[in-house]
Amino acid sequence: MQARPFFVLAIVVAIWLLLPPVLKSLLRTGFHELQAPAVQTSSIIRDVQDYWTFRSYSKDELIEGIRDLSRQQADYELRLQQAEGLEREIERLERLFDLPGHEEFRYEIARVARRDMGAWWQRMIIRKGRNQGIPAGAPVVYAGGVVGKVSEVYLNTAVVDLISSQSLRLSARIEGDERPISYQGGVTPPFEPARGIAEFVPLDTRAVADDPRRVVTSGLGGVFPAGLYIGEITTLEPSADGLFQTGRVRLDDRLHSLYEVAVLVPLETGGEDSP
Amino acid sequence: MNLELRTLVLLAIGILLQFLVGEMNHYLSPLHVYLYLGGLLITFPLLRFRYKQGFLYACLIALFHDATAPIPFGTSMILFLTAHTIVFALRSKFRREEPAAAIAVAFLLNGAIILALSVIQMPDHHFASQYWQRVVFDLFLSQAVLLLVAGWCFALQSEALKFFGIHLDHEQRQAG
Repeated sequence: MQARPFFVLAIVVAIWLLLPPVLKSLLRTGFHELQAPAVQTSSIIRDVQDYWTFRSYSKDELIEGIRDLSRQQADYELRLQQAEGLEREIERLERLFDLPGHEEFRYEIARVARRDMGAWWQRMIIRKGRNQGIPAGAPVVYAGGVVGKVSEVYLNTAVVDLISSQSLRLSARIEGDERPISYQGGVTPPFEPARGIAEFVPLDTRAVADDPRRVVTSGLGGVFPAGLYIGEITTLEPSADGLFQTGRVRLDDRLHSLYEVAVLVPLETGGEDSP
Repeated sequence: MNLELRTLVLLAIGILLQFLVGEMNHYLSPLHVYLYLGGLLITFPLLRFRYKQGFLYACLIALFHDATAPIPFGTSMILFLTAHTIVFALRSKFRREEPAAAIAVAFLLNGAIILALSVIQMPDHHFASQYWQRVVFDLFLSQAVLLLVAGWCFALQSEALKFFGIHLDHEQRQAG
């Protein structure tokens, strides 16, 4: 066995480990940006495929679809009026009691270009990035609640760490209970719903599979606004120290098949970053 | 000229295969299964190229992979280069130009890299048992897919080189 290849390997590894982090970061960004157009293009091709699928629908089907959408729109318009009324009421009460105002966001809708859900990580690449004012750390949501958090931002793409990823931990609470708990993504077994784990759940809380408890964001920690749906606690058991309970959180089935999400861009940050 | 061209040709095919695996994982994501074929990407140049050429190829393809993965940049590069060096030192002990030998090497390399990445990415104690169950499932699936596509992948790489006028079999016979 020759020793030279091993010597070369040792030298290359040593050089790599000693390389300044700035240089590694630049290399990473460069290699990512090289691949980004291919990922975006494949996503656009999927959109075109969807478009032609819709084109094949009959007029009757389209009329039926439009009728359903009109009904939904009327319902949402009513809810929007109610929400506006409630917002005005909240603002009035904030002024009356001299409370600090809520942080405001704008919704940046982005298409999902690539989903990457393994045991090692659970993330997705979206088709909007720095050029569209997406900041790192921004919360990402969809109709079913929280999707995750923007972890990396590139020129026209961004990477979102999902709430089903073990690397994501956030402050939460059980709906109807103001006490904060901790939520962390878990490992999703094959062919089963995505799941996470709830920690520091008070001992008097009860949850079973037939009567699950809804978990929402607490608003603490400064990333996610309060009240966004995360999932449902289906089982609870006492933690090792006996002071709290630990539970399994069942996440929405749609989380791993999303094709569009909304990034909550804080208005101040969005204003500075916007081109 | 050919020395550089062969690395570039296989690099282009490697990036294409990596892209296809990424697309497959995109469509498999609702089922919560995941494919990893990193070992397959480095096997052909590892067995058929000279040390420097294979080393450069493994280095570049690993960096392409690392750029899209949430692991410290260079992790796959160190794994790929280590695998490359070990197998290169052993490749004279078996008939490396035989497709069956190449498939066996790809199978072993891919399994070893998946296990190494799984150890590096291991979560805290909360999920250890579930994590390894998932890893074992993904490992079996990846290895099964690798066995299905390895022959086609090596043929594609070999034919692409021939298209650019690089005949590895002739070179090997002349060297022998």
